[in-house]
Amino acid sequence: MKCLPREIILDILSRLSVTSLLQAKRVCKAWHNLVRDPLLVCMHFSHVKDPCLILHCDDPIKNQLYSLELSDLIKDDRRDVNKIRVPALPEFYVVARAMDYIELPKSKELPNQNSVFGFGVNQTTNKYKVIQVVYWKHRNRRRRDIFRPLLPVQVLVRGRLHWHTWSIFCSSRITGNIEDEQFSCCPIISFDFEDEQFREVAMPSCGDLDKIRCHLVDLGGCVSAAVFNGYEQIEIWIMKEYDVKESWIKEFNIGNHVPRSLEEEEEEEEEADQKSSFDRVVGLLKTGEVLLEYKCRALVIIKIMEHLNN
Amino acid sequence: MASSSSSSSTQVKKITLKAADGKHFEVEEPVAMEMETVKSFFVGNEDAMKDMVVPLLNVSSEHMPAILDFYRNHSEFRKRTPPPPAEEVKAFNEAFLENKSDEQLMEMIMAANFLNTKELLNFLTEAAANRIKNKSVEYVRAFFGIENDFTPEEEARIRAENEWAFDGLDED
Repeated sequence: MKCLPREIILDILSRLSVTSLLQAKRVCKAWHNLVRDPLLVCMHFSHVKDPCLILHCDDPIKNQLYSLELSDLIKDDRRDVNKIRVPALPEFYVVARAMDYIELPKSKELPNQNSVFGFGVNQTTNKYKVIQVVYWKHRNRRRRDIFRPLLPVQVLVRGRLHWHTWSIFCSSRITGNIEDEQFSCCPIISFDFEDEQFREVAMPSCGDLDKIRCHLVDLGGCVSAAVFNGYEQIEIWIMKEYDVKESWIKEFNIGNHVPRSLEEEEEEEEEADQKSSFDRVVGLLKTGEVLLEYKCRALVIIKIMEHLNN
Repeated sequence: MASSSSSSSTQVKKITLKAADGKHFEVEEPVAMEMETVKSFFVGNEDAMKDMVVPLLNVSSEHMPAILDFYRNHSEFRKRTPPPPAEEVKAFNEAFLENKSDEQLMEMIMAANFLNTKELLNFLTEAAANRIKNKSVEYVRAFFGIENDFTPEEEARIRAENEWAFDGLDED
């Protein structure tokens, strides 16, 4: 058989999943180099595919990673999650999907310090960067504005990472108990990997995003927000034009999203720990369906029946 | 459903294409013009007459009927209002790939590359990617006819580096 030209091989490879690409490195020396070609990365992302998820699991063994190709899952639902063998690391965060891992130099640990990690790429220089945003939870009871943590959910859109922030005010000067604190939402902060600047991003003026149960999500390349309204209703907001306050619109509602098979277990889970009791909108699939993570236990695909606009 | 489509209007101009092995194919002009290589033969070449035979040096006559069938159907899909249902396009595409060996697929990719048509090339490379995804390294080598030029030590090292990716492969 005649050999296919390099650009055709690149084209074929760019349509493969990350795991298949890693295997392709073993085919021959020429392919080993092809897989490292920066052009391949660009082509890979240009073929709009459903995302590959990396699942981080602490139960029953700490720090287990699994990968899941969603496009495979849709076509045939027999594909399981693949276990990712991770080297024995003391503790780590999953910041983004990548094909390799590096160990970062240890940063200074200070008491009452919290940090959020972010990962992205400078598109001009093609350099990947990991950032660590550190803040202190010092409880100064004389001042009202105490700390503004970045929520760990981050969204990478247009070469910028975005976080939603919270403000926590202490309402009781005397006790300073958590129960006395009031939460309120603060701006969306972006970090630009190009110029390394933090900026504030426009929010809708209606205040609907200032809810405690609200998180950011990337929907079709737009910064979007999932607002948990009441018990079983999720509002999806999308910023259609980047950083334009007026372009934020409520795109659709997700009604009763608890899958029936999980509903019965619901009651027993009342006492479940806080962290695992939230649902999270993960993203949009190519089919237009919404992928939802249900209380750290199940991934749910939801068909959107009705868009509020158009 | 294939070639009978629009030939009721007898005025449609035909262009003659000559495959690598000398066989001639008469093709309706709009279908022939889907191929950039054929188009560039005429565009900007005022001397070229529409009745000239266009030589396609890299395309074997074995694949010409299938390739032309693809163009005819897909250009019809594009023109139709309302657009055809996704299932109809999918059914045609699946039937197109059915019974095509890996080797035939490769040859058609080369042909589509030579004819310089994005739509067919995209379709075929996607088909090739689907055939090799989640397959073992040995399967992929056989598929492309590639010799393993790694030493056993090198291969073991690369395998170890990417160990996690080798779980959950399909049967070859």
